[in-house]
Amino acid sequence: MMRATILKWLAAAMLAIVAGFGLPGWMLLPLSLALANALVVLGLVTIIRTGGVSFGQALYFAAGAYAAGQVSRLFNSADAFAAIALGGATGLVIAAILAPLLIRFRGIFFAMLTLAVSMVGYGFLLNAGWLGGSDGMSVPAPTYLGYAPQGVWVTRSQFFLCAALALAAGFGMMALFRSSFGLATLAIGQNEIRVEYLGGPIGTIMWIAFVIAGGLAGVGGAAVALIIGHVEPEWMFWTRSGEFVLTAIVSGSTSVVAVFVAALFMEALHMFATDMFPNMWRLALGLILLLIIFVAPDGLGSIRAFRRFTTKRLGPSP
Amino acid sequence: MEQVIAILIDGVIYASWLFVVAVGLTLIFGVMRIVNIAHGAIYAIGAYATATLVGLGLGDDAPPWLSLVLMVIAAASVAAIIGPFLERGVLRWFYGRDEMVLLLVTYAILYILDSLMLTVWGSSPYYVTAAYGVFDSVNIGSLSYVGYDFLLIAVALAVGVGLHVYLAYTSRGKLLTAVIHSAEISSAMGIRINRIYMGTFTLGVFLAALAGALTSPMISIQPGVGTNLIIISFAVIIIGGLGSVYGAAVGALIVGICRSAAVHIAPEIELFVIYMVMVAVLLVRPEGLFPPMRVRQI
Repeated sequence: MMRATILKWLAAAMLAIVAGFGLPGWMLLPLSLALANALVVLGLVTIIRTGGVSFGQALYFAAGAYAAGQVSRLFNSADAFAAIALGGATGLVIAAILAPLLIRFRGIFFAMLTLAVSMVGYGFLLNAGWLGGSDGMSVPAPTYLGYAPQGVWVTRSQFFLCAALALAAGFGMMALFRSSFGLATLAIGQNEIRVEYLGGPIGTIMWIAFVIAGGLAGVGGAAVALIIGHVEPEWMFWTRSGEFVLTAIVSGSTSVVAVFVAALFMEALHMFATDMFPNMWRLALGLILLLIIFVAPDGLGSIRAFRRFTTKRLGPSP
Repeated sequence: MEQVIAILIDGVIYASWLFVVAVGLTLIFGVMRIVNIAHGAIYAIGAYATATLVGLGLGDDAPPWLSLVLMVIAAASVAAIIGPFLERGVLRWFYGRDEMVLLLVTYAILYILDSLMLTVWGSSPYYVTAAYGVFDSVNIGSLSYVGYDFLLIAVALAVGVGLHVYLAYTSRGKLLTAVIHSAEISSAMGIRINRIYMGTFTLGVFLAALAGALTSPMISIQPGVGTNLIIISFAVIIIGGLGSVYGAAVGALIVGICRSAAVHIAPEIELFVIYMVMVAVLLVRPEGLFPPMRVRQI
């Protein structure tokens, strides 16, 4: 078990290194974005495992992005690691504060309340002059512990940063999903009251899941901010949360690998379809989503090929 | 004093608009347990259809009141085309799934409708202001109002009273109430649920399209008009309690008056006062003010 995990980890790391050196810059950029978005979706999937779908992950995502933008003001240097750390911490702290309020709700109410809270944040950003108001603010090009990349290395180092984050988060979450905590989240998602009667600490588990999701969204937001070099209030708008939900639905909540595949797929679809049919790509996306909900309601992760990679089957599905 | 009156009148006008926008949503949820995220897109289609019809059917010398008639025709044709198609063609394949799954299905529909709208109407804005000319402006004290705004109040009252009479006094309304309480048993009793679902969904679509048509003279119709709206109407019906028509009316009044108070007193919080009201209400009453009864299932 342990050896297999290490082997997979090494294989994935090798793949990332080969991709980083082999692929041209125009492909590395969307790949980095996809990996950063995958972090957010990974967090969202953790919440979805407990049975709720948060329509407000853009709040923590954008908070992380703004925090990354503040790093250069605070520390007089735009260090990527400081930006990521501060972004993650910001998402984490905001989620930890809001979680007790939000996790009391279920189903549609949870979805709508998370959404409403993120829209309050959006309104705040529009009015926050020190954060640039509706124009947002620019995020200076990051340095890496003093190393300032030039030319193609700008994109390349961004990609390596995102790949490293994705590897760490991916394997961390894989272990977490398999742990008793991860199984408890699934149990809550399937039947919360039974878990309650068995003495499971539902509130604590949901709080932890929500906080993990907030932290991952913050890290993802910080990474995207470093890549784009700019952050604006639209990043906290509910449609952004909706895009994360879409990706999570495509991936499903059973497999970590599926999350990355779904994020890459969505980024690729976005890239090619906006180029070729700017009006129709949302149509294609909508149809794909309908198809997935109809054919594989648990997402890509429920397809057999993915299951081999991930968790053992957990008994008959309901 | 004058400010209080201004806040109240503005609030009631805004609340009327909110009610027409939100009541279709709450109706669909009450009967079918579907939170229809595509509601905002249908609203936008209603506005676009009005713009097209008015552009086609109204020459420069035509009387302005004709545009009011065209609004209703536009809304009705949007409902007649989209309603049955979406319900029979898409939604019914997902009945019996979790409420959250149906929400995501309508989210996919939102993407599809948005994209189709962009293809049909393009991204440049449309303006249809003819309907404003039908009514004179109204003076209350020293305040002057556009007469058209009071049409909104009339429409909201008509929709509210009409729905109340339909649900409480007609036999078809009673059938609907039976379906709301238990679709399964109603079906066992011989009520044609399919037909009721289709009718209800189409009625909800009609109300959304009507709201869009009514709003068309007040805005520039362009992509994205429905995006904010869906969230605002969710706020309204969640405050009132999902699925309750009367709750939607109360929610609309609360939100309308809070927003107009914000506009008059503290304009900088106007954008998010609606969400703050929603969060505040849900903190005190997690299921809204008038929640339907539910059984806790194990």
